[in-house]
Amino acid sequence: MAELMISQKTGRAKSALRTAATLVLISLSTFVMSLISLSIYANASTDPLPIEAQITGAMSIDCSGQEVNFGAIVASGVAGTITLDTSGAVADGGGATYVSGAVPGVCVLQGNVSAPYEVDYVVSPLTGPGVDMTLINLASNNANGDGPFAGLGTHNASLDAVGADALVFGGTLNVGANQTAGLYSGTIDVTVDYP
Amino acid sequence: MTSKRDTKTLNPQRSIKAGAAVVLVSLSAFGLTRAVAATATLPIIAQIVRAIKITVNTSLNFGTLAVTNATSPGTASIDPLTGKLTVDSKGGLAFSGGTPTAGRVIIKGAALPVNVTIASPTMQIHNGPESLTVENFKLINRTGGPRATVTPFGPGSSIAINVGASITSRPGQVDGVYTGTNTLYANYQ
Repeated sequence: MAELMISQKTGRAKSALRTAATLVLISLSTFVMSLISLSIYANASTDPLPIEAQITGAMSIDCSGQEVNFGAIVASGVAGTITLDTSGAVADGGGATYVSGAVPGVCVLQGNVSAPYEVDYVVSPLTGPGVDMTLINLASNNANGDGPFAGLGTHNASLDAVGADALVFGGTLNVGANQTAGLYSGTIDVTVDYP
Repeated sequence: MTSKRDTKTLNPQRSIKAGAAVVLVSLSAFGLTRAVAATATLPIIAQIVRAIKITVNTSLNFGTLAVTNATSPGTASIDPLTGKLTVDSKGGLAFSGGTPTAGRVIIKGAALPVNVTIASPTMQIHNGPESLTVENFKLINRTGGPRATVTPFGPGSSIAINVGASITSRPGQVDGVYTGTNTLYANYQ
């Protein structure tokens, strides 16, 4: 009986211990969950959303100041060429004779200070009273010293400390045999962009 | 409690959305820089002009001159503008007939400056082995020299240039017809 009682007491004590342990565990769990809840809640309420925007100045180009002018040329029975360097030097070859008046073309650029940029060209033939004349070996250079640039394709250069640059253009003009006298004109489309 | 858990579960999604927004903003900014390309058209011009053509319209003719003093030289000059013959006062030569005329050349080309030059400012004209000296060539007028710059004009884009000169005889110059040629160059300036 005594043993039984003891046994019963022992069983009650174990039960009490289990109950106490369970309560402790529940309390700890609640505390931990509360911490987690607080922690996550704190993150959600204070996490800043970064917003960035870079405002860039648009590039501008003005080619209205000075056209590419190969000047006056005398043709003959033999085809020839007139080569206008970006420095303004002129050389004639074959049956074409340069007379006077050649001037390199100029485009003026504006954009972001010291920004690199790309430039592309599209050249059309020169049309006039006779057979079209073609511009080959397009030559270009820039005032900021990145050139010279040979031919078509994309060329890289930079604007200066005030966001400016100037492109200068020359090239070689093919003059046909017995090219009909008169004024011939064509174009170079010049596109500039930030890379 | 369940509601809080739901809230916790949604927070990461907000973070993802926020991140996506940042990426979108960045892409948008990148798009702005690509939208600033600019294109302009640069004209090219060339003028084909016809070659210069020079033709003789009138020969330089001193007419007929008489040697009036066998021991004295003489000089006769033709004004390019008026064609008038003038004989100096040394007594060696005198005008005796014929039609003295200034020379005249026609230059055709583009309406651009043309340099005209006498090839030989001093030359000889001959009568067999005998010769006379022709010098002091003057283009356009009597104040001109052996070089001039002119610009063709008008519908035919041409211009006439008169040529004068002086002829000098030696004492005892042999009679006869003296002839010769000189050359004029014309080039675009």
